[in-house]
Amino acid sequence: MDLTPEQKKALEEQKANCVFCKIVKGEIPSKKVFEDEQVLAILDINPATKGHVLLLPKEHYPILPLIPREIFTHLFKITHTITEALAKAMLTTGATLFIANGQAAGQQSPHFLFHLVPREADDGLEKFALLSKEIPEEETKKLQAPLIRSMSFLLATHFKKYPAKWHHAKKEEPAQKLTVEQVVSLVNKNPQLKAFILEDPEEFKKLIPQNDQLKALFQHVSVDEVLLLLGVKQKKEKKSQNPETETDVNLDSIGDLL
Amino acid sequence: MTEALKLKIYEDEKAVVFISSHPSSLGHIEVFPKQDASEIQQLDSETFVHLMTVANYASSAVFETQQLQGTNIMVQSGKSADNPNAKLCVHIIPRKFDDGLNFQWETKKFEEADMQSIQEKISYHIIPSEEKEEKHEEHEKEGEKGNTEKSEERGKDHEKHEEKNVHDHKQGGREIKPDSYLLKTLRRIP
Repeated sequence: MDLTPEQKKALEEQKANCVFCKIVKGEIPSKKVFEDEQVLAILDINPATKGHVLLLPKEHYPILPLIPREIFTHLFKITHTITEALAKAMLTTGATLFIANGQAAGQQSPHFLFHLVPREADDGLEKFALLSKEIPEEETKKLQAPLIRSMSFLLATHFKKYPAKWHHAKKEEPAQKLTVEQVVSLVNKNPQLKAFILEDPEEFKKLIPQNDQLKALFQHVSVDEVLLLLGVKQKKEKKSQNPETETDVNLDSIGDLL
Repeated sequence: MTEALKLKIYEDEKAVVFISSHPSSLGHIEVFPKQDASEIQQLDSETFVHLMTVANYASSAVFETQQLQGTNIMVQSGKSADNPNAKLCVHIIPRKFDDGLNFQWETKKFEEADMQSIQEKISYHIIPSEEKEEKHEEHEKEGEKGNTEKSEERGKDHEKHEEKNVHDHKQGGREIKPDSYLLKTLRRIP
């Protein structure tokens, strides 16, 4: 976490007052079921049921996404072990692992922790029930495309950093080898894009390598040929006015063209 | 809604992610292991870590895509009232203040002796993975040597420990009825 000096100071103050940091240090007593250098598991003093365990990294982190990879991995390896132990110890049929990121989600402690609650079919813990809400399909469908992109990007980056033996990245499909005419026709179908290209062809050329979808589009064709067919006159004069106004082009829609 | 929407947003060798067809809030995501599993412990450790990794990224993705104020990540493992089909699933639920959702459970109070006994039982059963591998290798070697003596000894140790546990219950002043314990053990047998 890269923090400003003010943020660092605020974090130190938070840690100084943190009940769980004190439990980690042993200043406040707790019923430990597991401990090692990085994580701690204790019984919750306000349990939902018998055997309700709290798992936490010893270091003070506010939410799950901010936990470094090594600690994250270790934390969930231990969780796996404890879940097994919990089933044997409490003789239950299931477990609920409950994480709250943020106060709005019910996070009650600034020190990140999560709950492992032994479950049975008739335990009466209705609060964990996930009830369906009436949500218009259209609103849900709108989320799909941006989420696909985000997930694809996040996991591709993840596997580059942390390769796994069992994972083989899908190769970029060069299935669509477009001809110059096909590219021109696609651009013609997207008036915003065409306008941008015609206004500032040099700027557009620079943009191509920075955008995956444009790169894919122009992969097998000569950009200059396409521009020529689109009617771009190679201007050797200075670029006109504000390049910023051109950036309203919706590059997301290119994905729909391909 | 006539047909349940099947909106997949990610897939790899170990996990598959959908937008839920029975959402508790807009953007409710479900992460499933590819492997048919009911409980967390049926997956190997690495697969479970990956499942949670994917869930963590999904929670960030959904947070960025919508104006959220928080996310819940809830793993349903094994059989419970809210998971009657006992299918292992990681739910990511978008949260905002005043969204009408409340997962906060009622807290219970148990006697100190009960809590101590629970603490002991759980810690006894926690075997770190390295030790598990060693014990497994030991078992295998003994099997080969045909050495039954050690196994008998271990069996006796286990019995002694069980007695100790029962003894602890009684010391606590609350008698756990032996037959409910037995019933529970029987229920655990698949």
